[in-house]
Amino acid sequence: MRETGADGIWIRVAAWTLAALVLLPVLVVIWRSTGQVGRAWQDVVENRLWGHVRHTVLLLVSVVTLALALGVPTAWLVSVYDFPGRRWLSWMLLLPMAMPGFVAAGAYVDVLEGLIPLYVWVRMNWGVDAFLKIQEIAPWVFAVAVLGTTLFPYVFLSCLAVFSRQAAGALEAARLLGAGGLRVFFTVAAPMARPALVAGGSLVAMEAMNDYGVVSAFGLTPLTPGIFRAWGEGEPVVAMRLAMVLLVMLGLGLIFERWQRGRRRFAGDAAEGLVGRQKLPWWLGLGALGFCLLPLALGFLLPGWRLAEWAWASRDSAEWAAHGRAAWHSFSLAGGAVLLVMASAFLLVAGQRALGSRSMSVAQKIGLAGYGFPSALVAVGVGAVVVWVSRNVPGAGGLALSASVSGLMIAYWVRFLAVGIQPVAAGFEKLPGSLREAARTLGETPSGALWRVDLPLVWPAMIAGATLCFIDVFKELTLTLVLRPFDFETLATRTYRLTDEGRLAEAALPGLGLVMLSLAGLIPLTRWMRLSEK
Amino acid sequence: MKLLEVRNVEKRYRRGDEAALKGVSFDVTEGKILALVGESGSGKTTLLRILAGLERMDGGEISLDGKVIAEAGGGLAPEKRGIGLVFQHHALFPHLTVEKNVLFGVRKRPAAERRTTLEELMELVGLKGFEKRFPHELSGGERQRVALARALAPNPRLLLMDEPFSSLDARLRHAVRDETRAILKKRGATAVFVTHDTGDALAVADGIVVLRKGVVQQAGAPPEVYHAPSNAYVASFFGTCNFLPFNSLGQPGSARVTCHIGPPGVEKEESGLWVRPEDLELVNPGAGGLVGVVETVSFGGGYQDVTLRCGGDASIKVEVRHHAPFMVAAGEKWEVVAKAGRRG
Repeated sequence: MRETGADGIWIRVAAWTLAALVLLPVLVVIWRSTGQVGRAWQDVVENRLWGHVRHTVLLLVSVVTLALALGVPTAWLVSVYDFPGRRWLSWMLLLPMAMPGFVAAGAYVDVLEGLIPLYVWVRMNWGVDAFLKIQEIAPWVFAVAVLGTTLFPYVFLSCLAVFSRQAAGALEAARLLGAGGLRVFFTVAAPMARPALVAGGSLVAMEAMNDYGVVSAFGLTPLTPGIFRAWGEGEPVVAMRLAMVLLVMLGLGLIFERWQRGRRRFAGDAAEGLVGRQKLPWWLGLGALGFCLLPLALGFLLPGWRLAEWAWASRDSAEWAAHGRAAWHSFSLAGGAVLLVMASAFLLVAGQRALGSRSMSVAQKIGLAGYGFPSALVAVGVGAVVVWVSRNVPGAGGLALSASVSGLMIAYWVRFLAVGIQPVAAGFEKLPGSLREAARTLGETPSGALWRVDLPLVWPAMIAGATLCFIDVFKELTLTLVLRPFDFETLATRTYRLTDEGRLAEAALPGLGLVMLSLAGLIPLTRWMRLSEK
Repeated sequence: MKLLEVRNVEKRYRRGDEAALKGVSFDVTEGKILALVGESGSGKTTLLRILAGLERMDGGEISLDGKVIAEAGGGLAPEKRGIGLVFQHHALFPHLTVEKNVLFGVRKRPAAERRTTLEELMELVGLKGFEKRFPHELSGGERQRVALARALAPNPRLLLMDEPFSSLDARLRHAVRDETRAILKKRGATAVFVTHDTGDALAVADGIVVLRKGVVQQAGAPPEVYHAPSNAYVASFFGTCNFLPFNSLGQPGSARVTCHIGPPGVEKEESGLWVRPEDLELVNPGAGGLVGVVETVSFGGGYQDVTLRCGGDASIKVEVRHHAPFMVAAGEKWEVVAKAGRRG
């Protein structure tokens, strides 16, 4: 006698289809990169490859270092000391998250150009070598500063959670045992925050790795723009091989992370206590305020102000129709991607909960892994599929636009499926299993219980996931640039193109639009932070 | 008439693990309340979940109303069994009002019938006027009653309850369990509940099944299980019990503490007697009983728990129902004898 009503087989098939789809771009890239190429690859290996790799490593290391240097101390100051402006800063330091790097870059490129007199002066006084050196270094400084100041909130947020909640008890104990502020930081707080540092740092590294807008605005050439260049030059196999290089570097990074973590595990006993804040004397308080204001100003206030100024100045000459069309494209792409992502996330998570099988949780893990794939790799992988479909499926050639829009959707879906899965999984995690069982004993089938009990209860989590996912897609640039149909602009690509063409004032308005929307996404986050204040 | 028949139920969570249930069999008569009692890990909750259809079993057969509902490796889905379940922490749906919670299982019935069901049940559990509240607006006892009403609403043939009183504090607990028994009796419901608390089992159930490590130790009416335990485990599980080995007493009959509890001889390999503290009393030395010195005394309100040392390392616990001014103090010398009517 088999239990009836266990419609598990279809859920399993669907989940594994989704998992296979997530892996598709990577598999395509692995497979295609073994294909034949002529001189082009040789040329890249001889002239560009080493530069791409070196620049990638240099960029990631310096951006992560800067983000840690800004994120850790600000989180520490805000959670254990009291100084003027602390309450405001504790949520305002998240604002740079709402400033997409390529938008901030638009506000700084002309500053870089303003340095030309400096170059001239260096050339006149220090000679040609110094001139070449500074000309090479200055764009790096700008790119790293823009990425570091817009990405440091990832580190800030993860450390804040540790300093003001998890580690609160240990910190108080250390202080009662007579340790001073710096000693508490280095002997207790920093080691306890290590997993948070790694988590925040990895997010920063991933964002920097996937960046195309900032590095290309300042003329840097790590792997991501290198892959796009090869793709744009009509050398897909070269692009795929470069993407493989990026994948291998990512793998090495993961191995390094595992290795340095060793056997350390930190049980996060979610101590509810909050640190009793120590009041700083006024001069130190001013110093703390200044230190926290620096990244906030560079990563948000300054570029935001410049953009607002330009947008206001160019309001009469703005091409509203073109902006509007781009905004409409952004909205519809993001809306469509969100529907796909949330439906899949619900299926993967709810299916795993209902069936509880190991294969289902593997499928869910694969879904989460998509977030870690480099954007450039996903872009060329999906791009290759789109090209293949439009060449080989009869009738698809005339539908080039829809083929490439669906390609774009799939690419967003692969990259951001995890953004949907995580909150939904967390939502389900909070539901006691007995609720579903209660529904079953009251006569509901498994799917009926899912519909009448689980779905209404995880609905807030679904909304949260949908919001985050919507914003991520809305401001996505890298995938969109590669996969968009010809002459099809979103707000993000439009902002990027106008910036690239030097039309900074015109780029300000769509850029500001992106910032505004991203700010809306931060509201739930800041509300959560204020709750944790109480 | 037998409503539920449980035959040789076997359950093993993982191959190689020790079985969670080994050949468990018992019956429940229609209209009766049965308690499954045991320590944690005894398999009682597993058994309940198997009855509800939330867990599969590896062997045996369960039938309800003469119809097989579960056998090795399969069974009817929980929603098709007509068995209600009250969960340990109630599992009320937090997004639904009391009314919607109670009517969750009867939504396919006509509206008029639903209305009368609701009225009847709210009346029965004494929660009239609470229909529009949400679960988080209720007290622990009220939630318990909503959970009971919700499980009763579809008129299940059998009602299961998982530790129904364990989440209530001591004072509420007694009231709620009396009330629950009254409600079940008024509905004529047949019920099986799981508890680790022997007090709950003795007070509420018509029959008790004692489980230990997946094996039934004894099945019987509450007085039978209490006064005639089938083995040492059951004897001590249902309250303090003195084990008096014959060698400390001499031959049976030679000492005055010759009462017996349970079948004569109790456990053959442990020759001695099991005596409950309330079946003993203290008398002034000279009566020919077992002489002992009072070691510890704890005051329990209407009684004193007294521990005496009777030579060597034999100690005896006696519950002294004192009629003031009769109070026992440590260091005093008394004689232990069986209470009148308890002498064998």
